[in-house]
This record gives sequence, structure tokens and C-alpha cells, in this order.
Amino acid sequence: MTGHEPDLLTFLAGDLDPDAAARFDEHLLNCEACWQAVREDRAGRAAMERLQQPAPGGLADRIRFAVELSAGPRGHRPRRWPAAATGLVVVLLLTGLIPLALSRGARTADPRSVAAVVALARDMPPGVYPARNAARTVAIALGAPLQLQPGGQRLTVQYYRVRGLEVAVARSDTAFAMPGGATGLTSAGRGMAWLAQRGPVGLYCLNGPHPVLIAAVTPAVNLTRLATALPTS
Amino acid sequence: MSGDHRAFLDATLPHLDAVHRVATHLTRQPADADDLAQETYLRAFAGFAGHHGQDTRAWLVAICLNTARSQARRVARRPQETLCATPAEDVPASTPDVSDTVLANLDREALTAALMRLPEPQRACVVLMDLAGLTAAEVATILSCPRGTVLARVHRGRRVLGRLLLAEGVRRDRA
Repeated sequence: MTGHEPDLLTFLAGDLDPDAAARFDEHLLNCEACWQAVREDRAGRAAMERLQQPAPGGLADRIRFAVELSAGPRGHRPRRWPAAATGLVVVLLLTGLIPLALSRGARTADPRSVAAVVALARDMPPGVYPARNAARTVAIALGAPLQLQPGGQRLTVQYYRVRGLEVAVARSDTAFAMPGGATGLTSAGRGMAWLAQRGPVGLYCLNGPHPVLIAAVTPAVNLTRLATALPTS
Repeated sequence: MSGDHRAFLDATLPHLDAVHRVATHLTRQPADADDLAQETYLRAFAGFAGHHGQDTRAWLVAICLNTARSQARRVARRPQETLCATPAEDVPASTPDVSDTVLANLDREALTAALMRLPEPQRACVVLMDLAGLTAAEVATILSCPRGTVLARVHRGRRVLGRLLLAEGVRRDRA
């Protein structure tokens, strides 16, 4: 390194005024060390341009999906009386009314597609897959997708491991009907998202443009966060 | 959660390439980089209501760095990196200009490896300026160091990479 590095850095940063830049240009003609430093700097910058690659295809959609998931239910809730609503939920949880309501719903006849997904999630062999990377926030697909058509609704079900849990993700071209006892997460009539519990199996449904029903042996409320790690297609 | 997610996505997704480049060089694994980018966006969305005025790209990159640090605290730290011998110690005093051919054919893996061998302070500055496209002032703010320090680190890091490139040019010319 030469003793001219401060001026060199200023020159490379474009901070020199025109007169000073012209003087440094002249200096470069006579100083091999500084000229070499400039050439190496420019070559290094060119090298970094070679590493400028776009983000992988699909990542933007995955992020959009994750953000919409984290925003959606909240975004569609009525904003009036938030404290009262929160208090009501706490009371219901403390008194066990929500689990009771969900368990009562379990006794009603679920739509066949929902019942099929529940069965698939319940029958997933626990602990078959190594529990490493339990903190991973990206889902790893397990096995090949299953194709089935319960009740005439065509489903593609893929198992994933994410955050140490096996999850069944059912995708369909048509919306999943909200079963009895489910908790709607969006405004009435839209039926966009709902949560339900069937025994140990939690269900989280997003009836957007590409309806998805997520099921795992976990409380349903956990699935809203878990879903952000799942792929969109 | 605060903020309108559509406005958030409109404002931030144009910077995904930059965020992902930073994430790639923080994690070194494509899947981990995707995870880190996603987590960055979720954290950014959570704080979007408080984002005023600051350059959005710099704001996202800062969140990406903080997220990576948080994750690093949760997992075993990687071994401390040390600077290996500079990759072009045998570069002759007079080297030919970098040609487009050399640039086009340069092994990306070799470049990435050379970047990874830079001392962390230099690498951070090079990645943030030359891959994420931040200004020296923005990098200085993010890294809490003077702008002149950033410029010096970037220059030294670029020179190491530049020597690799120039040496590659010499090698190809001789071949």
C-alpha cells in the first residue's frame, strides 16, 4: 500500500472535486503503485458484478405468501373493540369453551375432503424422520405427493417437515368448505381462512386463489405461523 | 401486525435481489439464504409502520444482517475465518488489462471462495456495497463505523478479488 491511500480512496469514491481529480489523474500516470491499486480495485468491482445474481424464481411468491399470511387474518378482522375481543378469547380459552366447541365440531360430519386430510395428518408416522434442523424455517418435502378425490374434490397432498413437525398440505382447485366448529379468521361470508381442531390434529385453511388446507398434530393456532414456511405451489 | 401488506410488498419486493445476495453471503447455503430472506421480510413487515424516510433497500439489508446475527446466536458459531494467502501473490508487476473474455469465463465458484476468504469486515463492506448496491454512507450507518473506514475496507477487499481476476487473465493468456 502506498502513502497515497487516503487520496486514492477519495478518488475512487468520486469525492474529489474536478481540479483535484485531474491532479490525481496526472499522479496516476507517474505512480505505478497507485495505478496498480486502481486497476485492482476496478477489477475487483467487475468481479463482484459477476456475482450479482437475481433471487431464485419463486422466492418472491413465497415471501408474498408469507407476508399475506401474517397479515391476512388480522387485516380482515373488524378493528372495533379489539380489547373486548381479546378479552373474550382469553375468557373462552380459560373456561375451555373453545376446545369444547372444537371438539363438538369434531363430532359433526366433516366434509369428506376435510376428513380425509385429518386422517392423513393423524396417520403420519411420528418420529420417522430425523428431528434435526428443528428450527429450520424452510419446509422439506417428504416423499411424493398423494392424489386423491374424496367427496369429488380433487386433492394433492404433500407431506413436509418444518420446525421439527410433519405437516400435511392439501391443495385443491376448489375451496375447502368450513366444517362445523371451525373458527373463521376472515370477515363473515368470505370464508377465506379458518381454523379447526380435530382431536390432536390442527387444521388451517386458506381459501385464496389456490385453496390450501394445512394439517398437523399440533394445536391449530400454531399452524398460522408454521404456514409461512410452506411453499406456495 | 401493523402496516398495509400490499404497500409493504410494493415497497420492498423490488429489493429482493439485493436482500437475497446479502443473505447468500451470510449463510452460504441457498436454502438457508431463502429462509433468511423470508425471515427478513417478515421482520420488516412487522416494523413497516416505523419505517419512515430511510432508504428501503438499506433498511431491509440492515434487518437481514440483524436477523442473521440473531440466528447465529441460536446456532453454533461457524469457525472464525482467517485470511488465507492472497490468491494472487504471484501476479507479475505488469499484468494485462482485464478482458471481457476473462470476465465471462471466470469461475464463479473461485470468486465466491475468494470473497469468503476475505476478513469479515472487508467482506461485509464489499457485499453491502458491490452486491447489495448500498452507498458507503449507508454501509457506514449499518455497520456503525466511519464512512472512510468503509471505503478503505471495500478498496482492500476489491483489490484481493481484483488480483484474482487479473491473475486469471494472466493464466489464460499463458495457456
